[in-house]
Amino acid sequence: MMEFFQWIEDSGLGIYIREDPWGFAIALSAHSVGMSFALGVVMVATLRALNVLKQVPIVSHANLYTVAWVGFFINLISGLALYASHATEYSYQSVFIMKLLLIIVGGVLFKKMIDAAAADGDNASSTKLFAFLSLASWLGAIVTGRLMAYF
Amino acid sequence: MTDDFLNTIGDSFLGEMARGYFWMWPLLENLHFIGLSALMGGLLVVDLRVIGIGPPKHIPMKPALSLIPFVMIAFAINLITGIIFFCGDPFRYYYNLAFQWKIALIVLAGANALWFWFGEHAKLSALPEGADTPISAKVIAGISLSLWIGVIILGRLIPYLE
Repeated sequence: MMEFFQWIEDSGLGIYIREDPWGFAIALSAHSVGMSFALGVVMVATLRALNVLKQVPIVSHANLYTVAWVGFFINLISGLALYASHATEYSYQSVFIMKLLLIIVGGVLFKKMIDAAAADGDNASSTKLFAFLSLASWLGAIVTGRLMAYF
Repeated sequence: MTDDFLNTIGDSFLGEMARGYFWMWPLLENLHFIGLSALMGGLLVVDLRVIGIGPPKHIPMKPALSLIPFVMIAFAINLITGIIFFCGDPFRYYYNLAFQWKIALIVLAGANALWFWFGEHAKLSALPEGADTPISAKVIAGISLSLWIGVIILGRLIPYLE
């Protein structure tokens, strides 16, 4: 396994992001813009389902999810670049592994929320439950991502 | 003169608080990240709706505009956490090129928001559903999104431009 992570780290992309004076900074900047798109839409949609934002008829509308996907793909690509630059370190970092799990869980729960809204309505308790759990997972992903600089 | 002022800020209650606990700085950073995501989420709805591009153009105008207070709350969270960061390490921020540009863009974004609020908001609220938005409103919304994306990028570049 370690050989594989080392191979990623020694790839052209890994070396560029790690050693170019602007490589890491540019990838991080893209990652924060992508985060704001994806998490922003998730927050607006889940807070609508939880009735914190009352008027926005979002839960049953797919209008914003395209924007969230744009953010998600910006972060998938910039995230892979950042990962490649320190693959041997990040692969064994517990907050990073937690972050990846929270993103998967948060994404699945967000889909569950959309499905529940379509089946049972915006104000159904199942929609609210999935919205709450999805929001919590995504906020956890922000926090564990930020804490990578500390642990 | 300026340095005296920065020293005073650094020695203030907020400065002491920012540096006083090992968990305070990461906590503030997390709040700042959550706040910036909320701010961008609200802005994307408002601005993309006003510009009328992409799927958000199908969102009704009034509910979209009703997200403006949410954006203001998100900005307030980041203003407060940002002020505490500044008090915690004033010399680092004050002389940082990325920070200086970031503040300049926030001021411009604020002026742009006032222009939107006083120049366009009433017109947009009165717009019949399905009607195209005025070009002036589209321009303001485009400037808004561009400036805030710039603010996020410059904020992230603070550690790299010192």
